[in-house]
Amino acid sequence: MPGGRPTWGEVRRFCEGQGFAKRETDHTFFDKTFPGGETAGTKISRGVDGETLTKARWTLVWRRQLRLKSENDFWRGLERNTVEYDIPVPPAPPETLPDYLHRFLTSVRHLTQDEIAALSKDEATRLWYAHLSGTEGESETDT
Amino acid sequence: MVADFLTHYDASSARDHFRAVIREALRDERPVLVKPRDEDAVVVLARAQLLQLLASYQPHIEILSEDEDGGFTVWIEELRATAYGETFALAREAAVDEAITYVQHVLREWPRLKHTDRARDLPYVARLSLAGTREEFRSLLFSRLEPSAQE
Repeated sequence: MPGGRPTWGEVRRFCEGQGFAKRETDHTFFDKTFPGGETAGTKISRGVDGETLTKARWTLVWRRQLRLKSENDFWRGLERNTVEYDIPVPPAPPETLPDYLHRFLTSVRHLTQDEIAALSKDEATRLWYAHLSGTEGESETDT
Repeated sequence: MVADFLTHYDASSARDHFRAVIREALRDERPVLVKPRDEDAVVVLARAQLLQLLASYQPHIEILSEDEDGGFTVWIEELRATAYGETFALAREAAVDEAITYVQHVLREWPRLKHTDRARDLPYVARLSLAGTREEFRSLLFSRLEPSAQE
């Protein structure tokens, strides 16, 4: 219950409901891998499902093992609602233009570095395509 | 190889010279390379030397007092493991049990975990996995908190 402490059985139910991968040995390991390779997970021994976690241990479990944003996320997740994890979002890799596009934009289109930086790869490729197909200017006036 | 810093053998000559391989790794404390055909080389290294190389990978331990429930909870940072005991001695032994289980888990799941953030914890796991006895495992696990660690 929110504000309280769960049993290990509820931690098990949370992990099962939130798509953690389960590996059974003498114990049950739950693991979840996030984009970027960060992981969360816990281990539950056999025969402890009815035991309530102690206070300090519970904080370690939700915060540092399950890596939840808040304790409430656990209770939300237990009801199979979406939860927030405290996992750093991997930065999107900067989109770099291939050399041939860069060369085209500087030497043919005479764009400045700032103008080039503002273009996505798709936009740059559209300009390149228009140049090659002799439709330069048309696409720009169309849009 | 950049240069012949180390003695290297192919797999069959390593087998034929097994004593020499072990002697060099142990007595001379010099790693020996064995290169099976079509495989990456493996390194034969004395356990004591590997422990020395991994000496700085001492797990970070927190010991939390369970004020409401009584007892202690131990947190092992690099294994992301928790253990509880009604007394400190019990909590410490529970932490040893827990750490053993986690080391087994990481080594068993390594082909998958090596692609995750758990990869950075491998030196800690490798060091603990070298323990020959439970006593040594306990000593390696809590080495950061032992008095000798302050020297």
